[in-house]
Amino acid sequence: MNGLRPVLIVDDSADDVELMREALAEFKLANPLAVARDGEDALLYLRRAGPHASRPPVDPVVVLLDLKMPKVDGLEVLRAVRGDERLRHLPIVIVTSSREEQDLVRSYALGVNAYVVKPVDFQAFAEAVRNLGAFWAVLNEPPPDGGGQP
Amino acid sequence: MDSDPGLPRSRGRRPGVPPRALSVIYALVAGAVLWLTAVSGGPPGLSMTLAIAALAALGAGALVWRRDAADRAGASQRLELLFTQFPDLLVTADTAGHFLDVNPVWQRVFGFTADELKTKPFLDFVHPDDVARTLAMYADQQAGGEAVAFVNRYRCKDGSYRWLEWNATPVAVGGLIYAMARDITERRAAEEQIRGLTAQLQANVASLQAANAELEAFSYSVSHDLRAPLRHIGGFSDLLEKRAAGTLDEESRRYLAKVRTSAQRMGKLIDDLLAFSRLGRAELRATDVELDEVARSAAAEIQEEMAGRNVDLRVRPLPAVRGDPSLLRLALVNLLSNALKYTRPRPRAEIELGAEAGSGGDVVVFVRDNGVGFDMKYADKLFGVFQRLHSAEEFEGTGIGLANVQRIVHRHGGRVWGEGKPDAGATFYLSLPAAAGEAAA
Repeated sequence: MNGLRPVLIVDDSADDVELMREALAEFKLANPLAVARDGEDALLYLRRAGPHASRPPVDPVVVLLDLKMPKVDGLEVLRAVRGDERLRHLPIVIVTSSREEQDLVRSYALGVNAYVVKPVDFQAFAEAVRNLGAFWAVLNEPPPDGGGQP
Repeated sequence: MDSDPGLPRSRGRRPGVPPRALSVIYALVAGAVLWLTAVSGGPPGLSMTLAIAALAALGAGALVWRRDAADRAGASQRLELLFTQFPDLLVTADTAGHFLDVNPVWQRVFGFTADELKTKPFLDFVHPDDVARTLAMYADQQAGGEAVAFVNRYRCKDGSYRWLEWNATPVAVGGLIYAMARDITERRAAEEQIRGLTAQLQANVASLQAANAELEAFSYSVSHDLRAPLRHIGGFSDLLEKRAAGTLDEESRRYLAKVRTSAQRMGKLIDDLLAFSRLGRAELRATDVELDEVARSAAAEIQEEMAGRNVDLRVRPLPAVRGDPSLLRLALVNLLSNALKYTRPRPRAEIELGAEAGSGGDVVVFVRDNGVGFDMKYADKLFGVFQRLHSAEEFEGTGIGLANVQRIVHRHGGRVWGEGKPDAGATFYLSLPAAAGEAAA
């Protein structure tokens, strides 16, 4: 199990994180879950800096990224990652409550891999999270791990 | 005649001698010569003839002289009349800065008599803020420049000021200025009013744009912030049910189910509200639209809802209209879906989609059904957001459909209305602008 790359959830809502965790646990996803509580935390995690300096040097298999967060929002994280030579191929899926067209347009313009609107209904939400886990953590071949090399 | 100032009391005298004066001189000279010849001797018959001719010549000369004087008096009178009757302000001014002549309009406009105006330097009447500009213009005039559409203010006897627009021509001889002015106070007030209204309009547009931006921020916040807690209500009640299913009694499980369905319903209301708000913001792409095609597409969309029902849906030939095809399609889908819903208690639903010519060249589209209808006393509530005339148990829905239809039609500059009777069907009408046609395309 040690070889499995984590799924990084970036979401400021503890409740949403817990529900996603439940949904992925029901699905028995083997990959470990990493959680960042805002965009700044997410970038520190991805760059193995600050509180995340000592984390294992494997990049996530996918980043499930919320849009509206304090400090650094999802679009800014997306822009920073796509502009980072080492991280720019990282699969990123926006998982958000917003179905506003402007958010969709901006996300795709910044090179997001997928955009999922969190359904209000929990069953549908759990189903969506399970599908994301199944596709991105199991089915999809991620880009070769940068291994934390600068 | 160009140099003739055309005003009485003109001091300029022309250098040439007029032809009429010449003929008078010729007649007088001829008369004198003949007379001298007659009295200086010669044959009496000839002398007599010469004397008569001389008298005739003198008489003719005198006649011409009198006519000339009479003509000059007539012209002078006409010029005097022109000066006194002219509707604009006329004035002559000297180099010392005084008015020499003012026509009667001055007194009508300003209340000062001609003498009052002439005894003071005219700058005394000019608005203090306009003195410098007026002096500059005056100096320019005396240097031979022309003042065209120069504007300044003059004081009235009551202390108020009136705006004058000047047209002036300097005359080289004597350094006088001949000027005409028009009272443009009312025009300027109207212009001022227009400027004020324009500024107000711009301010209104700015505040509307601000309100719109605020609304966008609000709907964004609604879409994000209100959905999340709903998902948590639904999600955790779901998890609770799973974990405690064995220990909860039936009533508790029913409560949990109610929590979940309420969360779902609120989610639907929020989604509907956001879609309604988007309809108001979406850009209207107006073209000539074949309503036949739009109706076919709308009818196809509700096929699924018709499954298992006995429905007679008749789509009559429809004209072309001016509008946004995707929005018009959405309006028709809403109306047809409505008709389908409220005919559900009927063994056989009859729904008709047609059009008739409206007043003022509009097209009126209607959707008629034989459903449960409604009481006309509630007709004004039909198109309100989340307004319903039936309970959710009777007919499902949030009550956004007809509000969407109304918003779409209003954005096309049209009108919607409904007619119905309880248990006797309903007809919904929407007026739309007719197609512009090929000529305008």
